[in-house]
Formats: sequence, structure tokens, C-alpha cells
Amino acid sequence: MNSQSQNLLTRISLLELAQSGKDHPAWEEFLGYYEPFISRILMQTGVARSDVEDVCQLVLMRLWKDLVNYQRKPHQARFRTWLSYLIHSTLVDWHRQQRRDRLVVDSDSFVFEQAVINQSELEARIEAEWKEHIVDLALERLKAIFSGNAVDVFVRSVEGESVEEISRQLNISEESVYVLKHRVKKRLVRAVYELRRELELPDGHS
Amino acid sequence: MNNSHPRNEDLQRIRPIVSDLFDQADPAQAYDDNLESDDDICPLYCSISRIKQRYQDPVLIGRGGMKEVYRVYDARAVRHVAMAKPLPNFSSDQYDAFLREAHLTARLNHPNIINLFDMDIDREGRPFFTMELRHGQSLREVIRSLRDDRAKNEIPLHQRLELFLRVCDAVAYAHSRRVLHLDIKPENIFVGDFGEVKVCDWGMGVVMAREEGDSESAVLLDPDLYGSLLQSVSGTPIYMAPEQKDRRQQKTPQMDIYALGCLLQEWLTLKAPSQSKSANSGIDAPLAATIAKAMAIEPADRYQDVASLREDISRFLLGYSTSVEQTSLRREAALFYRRHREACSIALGSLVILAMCVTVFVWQLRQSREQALTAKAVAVEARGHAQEAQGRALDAQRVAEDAQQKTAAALERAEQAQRHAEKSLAKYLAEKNESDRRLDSQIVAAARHSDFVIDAAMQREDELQSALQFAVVQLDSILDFDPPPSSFAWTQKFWTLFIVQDFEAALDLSRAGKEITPELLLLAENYLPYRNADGYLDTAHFISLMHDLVAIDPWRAPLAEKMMIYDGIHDRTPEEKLAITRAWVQINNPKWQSEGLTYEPETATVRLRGMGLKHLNRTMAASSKRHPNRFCLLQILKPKVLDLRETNFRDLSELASLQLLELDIRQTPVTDLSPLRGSRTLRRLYLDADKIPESQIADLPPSIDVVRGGQ
Repeated sequence: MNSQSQNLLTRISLLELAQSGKDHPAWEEFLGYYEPFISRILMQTGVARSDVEDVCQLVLMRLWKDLVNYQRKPHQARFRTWLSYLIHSTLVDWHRQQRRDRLVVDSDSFVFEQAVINQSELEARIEAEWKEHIVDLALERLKAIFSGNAVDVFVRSVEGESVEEISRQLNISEESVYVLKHRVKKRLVRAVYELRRELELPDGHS
Repeated sequence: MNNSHPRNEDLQRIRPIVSDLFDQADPAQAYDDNLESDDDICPLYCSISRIKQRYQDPVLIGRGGMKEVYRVYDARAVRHVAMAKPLPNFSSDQYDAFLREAHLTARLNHPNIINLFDMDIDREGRPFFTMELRHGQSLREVIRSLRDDRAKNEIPLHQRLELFLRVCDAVAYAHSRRVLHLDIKPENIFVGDFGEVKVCDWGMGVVMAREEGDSESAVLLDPDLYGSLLQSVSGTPIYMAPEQKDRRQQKTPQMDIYALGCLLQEWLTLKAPSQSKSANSGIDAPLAATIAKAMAIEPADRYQDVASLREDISRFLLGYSTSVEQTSLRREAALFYRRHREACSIALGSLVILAMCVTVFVWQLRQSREQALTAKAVAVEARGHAQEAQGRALDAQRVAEDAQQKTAAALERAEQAQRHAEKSLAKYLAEKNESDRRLDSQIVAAARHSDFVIDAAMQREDELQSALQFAVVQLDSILDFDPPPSSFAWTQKFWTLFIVQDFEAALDLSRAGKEITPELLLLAENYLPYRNADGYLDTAHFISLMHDLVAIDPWRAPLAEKMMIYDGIHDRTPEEKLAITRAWVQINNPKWQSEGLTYEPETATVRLRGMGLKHLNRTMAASSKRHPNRFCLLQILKPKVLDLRETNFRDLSELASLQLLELDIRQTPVTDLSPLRGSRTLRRLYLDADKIPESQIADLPPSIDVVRGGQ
């Protein structure tokens, strides 16, 4: 995270660095961002808590393998579409494997279609979850830059609190409230921008 | 890693705009076009990165011999600074001369020296440098405003000196970096609104040569490299040391010290500096002396370095005397008081209190002393009474002596009879042995006895000394009984010793605590130093002692007589004996003026003249005219021939103690010749014719040849 916040202007995407090898420090950083996100998605799709970690590893393996292919494709899909496909297919493979193991044990019918949500639904969920994940990371970053009050001012203003009220509540001048909420929002957008540039692969090189 | 990563609480609160935020930050579209919004995130960084022209808005604020100075805005440092540029007519050949000042200034980093910020070349290729810009005015302007309206702009002396000290600090520092300013003057000293002092304009300055070869930068700054340009803008003449006017002269720190002296003088007097003595009038003497030393014509007479000049000023400020001041004790004291006002006040106060205490103490002391004196007076009075009583006691003693003399007279009679019988001395001593026995029986009586033994001994001088010694031995044998100190026997011993002039032994008695008559003690002490080798007083002092004895008390005359007779056996010359006799005769005949007394030793002839002469016996303390043992006043001369013509001598019995062969009593009132009847020695008597009845002459022994009349 630190390495990212230091180089603002020119940088190679973390994803691109991560492709250079699993033993590259960038891979660890990449995992740090993606693992919680993927785990969360997996849990939402009904993977048992005990299995999440295994499935997560499978997804990350495929993600790493496919990254090269993704970039080389002249007209690839949107990043999140690609990501949802990747997760979906991993999940389907995993369920299929699970069912084969169970058939050996007992012949109870397991409805695969019930177990795996369809891909379009998954994509929508991933989209929403990714957005929140990124903004959440950005907020974390802001807290390292601004004092607690500054982020609070911004949050309160988003919630619709008036400038006067914030000024009184937090005991800072109205002028500062204006400046802070404006500056924090700008900075937040900036942080989101940086995170997206780092963690997403550009959508289409068209 | 856990999938239950908790979402930020704030995220829930801003969820409505999360999607919007996410879309705004699409790296593919929106954000790159929106870069100017960085200003809000990091405005300082953005502004500095956008600056294209660093120095802006120049305003000309001054022009010197080589440079123009502008006030410019430094956009990068976000402040106003002073920018110096070479004069517009300077060619590129002269740029180095201009930059020289910047290099000199850059060498100096001191709070009282203007700071160099930047040195660069502008777009036209002309050099410039920037320095700190100060709000305030030059010392020249300050002096001018003081001169214009002294009362309103008055600056107290200590404040002026503090400012001068700052200048000294700067110059001393520069000298330590081997940089000389060489153009110190009020125009080049900057006084800020808050009292900060900066020495500016080091354009004339030089770097002093180091002993072992110059560093390259110093060589580069050598003014000789910059030709006539520097000389055309040389220093201000009145602040310039005399030797500085010679351009070939090696530059020295003393030139700066001279200028500092000028500066101090103008700063204190507000008049242009001058060498005249009157220029320093109105300045405190130590400061005037400091200025005079700094401005000395001869560089060697000036301060050795700025530090010592600075030291003198700061000593003055602290209230000490300066090194150049001829300090008097009074001035040192005044300075001391100024420095230690409180301590001095306390000390003085304590001193006053102490003085008061001492006064009271002394007063009390005097009081008690007066009391003591009163007591002493009472004591003295009491002592007077005591002495009076003692006097009475002495009187009583004299009465006793009289009685003793009477006893002695009886003895004399016995002795006369003895002489007639020409008894031997052995018999005499036997008689004395008898008296010894009496002495044994009673000490005091025996002591008195020794007295008459002496008296008797006087008659026979050949035995006198041994007799006296014998008396002393005898007294000593008595004193072996050690009678009480008040005993008369001690006085007798003293008296005896006094007669033989053994004052030393006499005084020893007193030292041993015996009670001795005080006046005799005093005389013994007084005359002790005048004894010669054989233990006798010289003649003059002997005479003086006789006078003293009778002057103290006429009743001491017998003692004087005894002393004289005892002294008579001593080897004095006839002249001395004559002098003693003359004094003795005079003492006993107050009307006799010593006019006529002659003595011829060969014939033992004495001639007396003068109508004042009446007696030839002791008249003082003469208890009885009939005292048989009276000595003639002329006793010690032992006259054989006595000529008493034309005197008032009347009583021939007074000559009884003499053994005369011839006596001349013509032109005297003698009428009674009976005392001569017993004379065994007289052979010739000269008488006036018809004055004495024939019957008296007939009664005289036939051995006497009476010659009547004639001259």
C-alpha cells in the first residue's frame, strides 16, 4: 500500500507486476487486496465457510494464470465480467468435483444449478462488491492522510448534515468545513482512481 | 486472511455516493483530464512546480557605485527579497567585480551581517544576487532624524552603544573570517524596525592574505584583479583611515577600527567625525578616550583588534572602567556603586548602623571612664592624706634623730675626752663593742647607734671608711634577724648606703619590698646613672644632689653634710673640693653671693670674703647652737690657714672642728675669743687693734701668737 501511495504520477499497474511471478513482492501485495474480496464473494455465493479458503486459492491461481491471456486478447471483456467469469467457472468446476466425490460416497442427487448462481447475477454482485471494496480501501488511505476530523466532516456532509451543524459539532470554523469536505472528497476520488488503476485491468484497449 | 474483513463504518454512511465516486474515478476516462484539481489536494507542491518566473515585480530601492538594488517578490520562497544587479552600463568584463561582493558576503554567516540568498544569471545573461530584504532604515537616516528632532527621536545612550556593539560583533566576525569591510559608515549599517542591526555593502571589502598562500577563492576575490573599477568607487573619505588613502598600502583591520571610531563618534555626537579634541565634548570621558584610541592617527596606537574595542564599550555599559581610561579611585568607586547599587546601599546602611553602635559603645565607655577617674581622684586624695600622715611620721622620726644627735653629742664629749687622753682606736672599738651589745638587745636602738657611729667617724677621716664599713656590717648582722619591712633598721641601712653613694644597693632594698622614704628613693634613682667608675658622683651632680636634698626638705641638710664629709675622703681635685665647699657655704649662707672663697692647696690656706657670710656651721636644720659635734662648712678643705677678713663671721666656736694654725679675723664682728682657749693647734691669730678687750687675749694659751692690727 505504501509503495502505491508514494508514486502518484507514473507507475506500472500492480497487476502487471504481479504477473511477473509468484515470488515477486507485488504478488503478495496483490493477494492482500484480492483475497478478502474473493472470499467475501465466495461466501455470498453459498460456499461453506470451511471451504472458502480452498476455493479462494483456486480462484487466485486461475486469476494469475489467466492474467496473461486477458491482456493479450485484443478485445477482451470488461475486467469485472472477466473476473465474474473466472470465479463462476472455478466455482462450477469445484462443485462438479465435489459432486463426483459425493457420488462415490452416496448417490443422493445434488442439484448443481441450485448450488451455483448464474453468471449474470454473480457479475452484478461482484460489480457492487468491487465498488465497495475499492471505496473502502480508499477511505482507509484517506485516514492515513487526513486527521480523523477531516473524514468525519466529509461523511457528515454526505449524510446531509448542514455546514453550520458540522462546524458546531466538531468545533471547527465553517470555512474549514467547506474546505475540508471539498478537499476530502477530491482526495477520495483520487484515491479510488489510483486503486482502480492499480488493481483493475483496463477495460478494453480499444 | 479472512473473508470476514469488516467494512469501514464510514463506508456504510457514504454508501449512497459510493457508486458515483467509483464512476468518477474511472482511470480509463474521467480522471486524467481533471489534473488541475491537484491544487486542492497539494496546493503548495502544485504552485512551486508551476513557477516559471521566480523573481517578480522588481521595484528599484537603491543604487550604489556598482549595483542597483531592487525589491522583488521571490515566488518560490514566497517572500520579498532584495536583488542586486550590476549597473546597466556595466559590460560583461565588469561582471566579476560585481559578483565579488556576493562572494565576500557569502563567506560571512552572522546575524549582524546581511544574508546572501541566491546568486545566479538572469535570462539576459546578466549576473544578479539576492539578499534578505529588511524593513527599516539605514543608520544614516536614523542619525538624520535624530539631528532634525532630537527630543522626539531620542535614543538612550545604552541603546546606542548596544547598537554599536552589534556592528562591532559583525566586523569582528568578518575579521575572524579574514574579510575586511573597508567602507564602514552609517549608510552601510541597517537598523531594522525591531532593533536588528545588519552591516551591508561589502563591495569594498578584501580578504586578508593568509600566511601560507591564499586559497583559490581568496585569490579570486583579490581587488587587484578588478582594475580601476573598484578604485573609482572607493570608500567615504571622512571615515577612511589616513593610511587607507594610500592605495598601495596593505589593508589592515586597523582601517576598519578607525572607521568604527568615526562611526561611534558620529553616532554619539550626531556630528561628522573629526579628529579635533572638542569633537568629543559632551561624551562621557571613558567613551571619549575609547573613540580617541580607535581614531588614533598612527595605526599602531589604535586598538589591536575589534574585540578589545568592543570590550571597552561593554565594560562601560556594565559600569566598569575602560582600558584607556585614567581611572581615579573616586571614579572606580562611583562605577562600583553604579554596578552594585543594591549591595552598596545595604553595605552603607549596615555601616551607618555599625557606626551608631560604636558611638553608643564609645559614649558608654567614656562614662565609665569618667566614673573611674572620679574614683581615682578620690583615691589620690586618700593617698594625699596618707602622705600627710607619712609626713607626720617623718617629723616624728626627725625628733627621734634629734634625740639621737643628742646622744651622739654625749658620745662626742666622751670622745673629746678620749682624744685628750689619746686613747687608741682599740679602746674606741671596745666602746663600740659595748654598743654592739646594746644593739643586740634592741634592733631599732642599735640602728640608731650605727648612725652616731657614722657621725663620730666623720671626725676622723682616716678611720671613716672602715668605720662606716663596720657600721654596715653591724647593721647587716642586725638585719639578719630580718625585722619587718617597715622597721626603722631598713631605712637606716638605706640611709647609710645613700651616704656612701651606693645607690644601687640602696635601691635593691626598696626592690626587696622594704619601706623606704620615697623622696630619697627618687633621688637615688635619679642620680644612679651619674656615678663614675669608682662609685662616686661627678662633682657637678654631687653639688646638684646637695641642692636637691635641702630643697626637698631643709631637714635633709644633715644628710647632705654627712655625704659631703664622706665624699671628702674621696680623691677629688682641690678645685672640685672648692666647688663643693662653695656650694655648701652658699646653701648655709643664703645672703652670701659666693663672691670670695679661695683655696691654696699647697699652704692649705682658705680666704673668705663677703659681708653676706655669717656662719661657718650648718645653719639648716641646726637643732642646737651648742651642739658640740658641728662640722665647719669648710671641713673637707681641711684649712690650716683661715682668713675671714671683711666678713660677717661672728662665732669662733663654729671653727671648732678645724685644726687651724693661723686665723685672721680682722674686720669681723668677732668679740668673743673664748672658743680658742682649748685650741691645741693654733699658732697665730690676727686681730684688729683695740677691738678685743686685753683680758680676753690674756686668757689665750701662750702657744698662740696674737698679731694685732696691720693689713
